[in-house]
Amino acid sequence: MSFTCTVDAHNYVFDKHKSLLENLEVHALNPEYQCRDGYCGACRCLLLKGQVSYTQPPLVYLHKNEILTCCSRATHPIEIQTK
Amino acid sequence: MAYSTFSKIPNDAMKEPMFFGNSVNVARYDQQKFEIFEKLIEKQLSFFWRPEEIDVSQDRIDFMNLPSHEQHIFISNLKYQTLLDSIQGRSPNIAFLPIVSLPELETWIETWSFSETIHSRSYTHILRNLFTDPSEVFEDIVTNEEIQKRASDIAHYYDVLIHAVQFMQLHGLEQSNVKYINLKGEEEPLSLRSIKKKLYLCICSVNALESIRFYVSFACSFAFAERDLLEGNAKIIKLIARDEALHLNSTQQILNIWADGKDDPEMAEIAIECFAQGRDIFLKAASQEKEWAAYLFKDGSMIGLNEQILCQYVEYISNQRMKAIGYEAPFDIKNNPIPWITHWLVSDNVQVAPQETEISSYLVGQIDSKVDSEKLSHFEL
Ligand code: FES
Ligand SMILES: [Fe+2]
Ligand SMILES: [Fe+2]
Repeated sequence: MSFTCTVDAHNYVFDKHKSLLENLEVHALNPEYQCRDGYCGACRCLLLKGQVSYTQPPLVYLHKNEILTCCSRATHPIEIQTK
Repeated sequence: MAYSTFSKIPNDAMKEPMFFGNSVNVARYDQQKFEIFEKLIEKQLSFFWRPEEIDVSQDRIDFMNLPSHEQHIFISNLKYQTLLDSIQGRSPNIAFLPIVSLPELETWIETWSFSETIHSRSYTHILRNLFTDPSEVFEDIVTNEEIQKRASDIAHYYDVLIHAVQFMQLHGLEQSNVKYINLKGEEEPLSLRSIKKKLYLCICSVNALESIRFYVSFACSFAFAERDLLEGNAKIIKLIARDEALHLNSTQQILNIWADGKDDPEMAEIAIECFAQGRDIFLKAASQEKEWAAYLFKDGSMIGLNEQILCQYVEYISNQRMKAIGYEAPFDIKNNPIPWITHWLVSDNVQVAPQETEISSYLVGQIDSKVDSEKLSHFEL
């Protein structure tokens, strides 16, 4: 059901059935987003540790370690950097 | 290197660079060097909308009731948007189609340009509703000094590229009988590499146009709608913004593909060589947008938006856009100074469904074939 996500060095409990973006919102972390559909890149952040999977292929050019939170999920502990 | 509408060279499109390879021959999409461009085409087509679908009749009353300094903000902003889309409706086609070498990218450019023509038509839709005779507004776009300042900067990179490519395709670069006289009237030695540099800078400038300049104008449009004013206009701008997110994505793709050495190796070198020049294009766009903000608010600001906040937004959005193509964020600002813009830019609540009351006409045959069984679980027979 849940896993730990470290966001900018703070730990939060994330729901694995929700996208990372939705989880960030649950914790009122004011995440960036726009399209929520994987094509604008506004939700881009850095994955420092762990793995994410995409519910739909991201259409944004992602540099090394960059992920989109709007269309990705995780099941095991991850660490991300949003700023 | 003449352009051919159907090159007879039996090339392998998978081995062509994005630009300056062989002209595209067969429009085939079964194999793609960069699939992303077809994905963008599909998205863009799924976004299809027509300005006539949005009822803007209430806007006239709102506009008439605005104080004159707010009318100035609204109309100037609309003029600027009209200018930007006038350029975008033709330039990608004229500048990039003669030199593109991949079928999926060629079709993306055409799809992209086509969607810009819808944007242009929607400004007429808006203005026709606001004024019995919108001529004065349109005519001012060509003569207004403030608009001219940025127009010439934006058009410049396109014009320079188009001019050099036309010379190359007419005379070739392997001869020395005809000298190339550039747009400034000066003799300029032309090589494929120097033309590629012009392409690189042009794509930077287009990206700055769509990713920074346009978003500044969106902020102004939405600031009115935040006060429940000119909402028809905002609905249209929302649809335009959704398209623009795709457009700017495509030029970010091109720049990143080049820089990461995934395409023409010469373009990867040029990306390094022109790194500083590219950066200057973005910084100049940002500073021009700040000057524009000063012009917009010269007679007074509006509730929710003023020169200072808009300038902060310019810096914030420039940071985001520059980071996306591998530049350091040039400004200190970390948080969005106008967080309310997000709900206007989010596309999952863009409503163009025919059942929406404000829509006066719609296309038939649009069906959503995805049925979510959970939504039906409450039905009982
Ligand atoms: S919000 Fe647009 S890509 Fe995630
Ligand atoms: Fe446009
Ligand atoms: Fe565009």
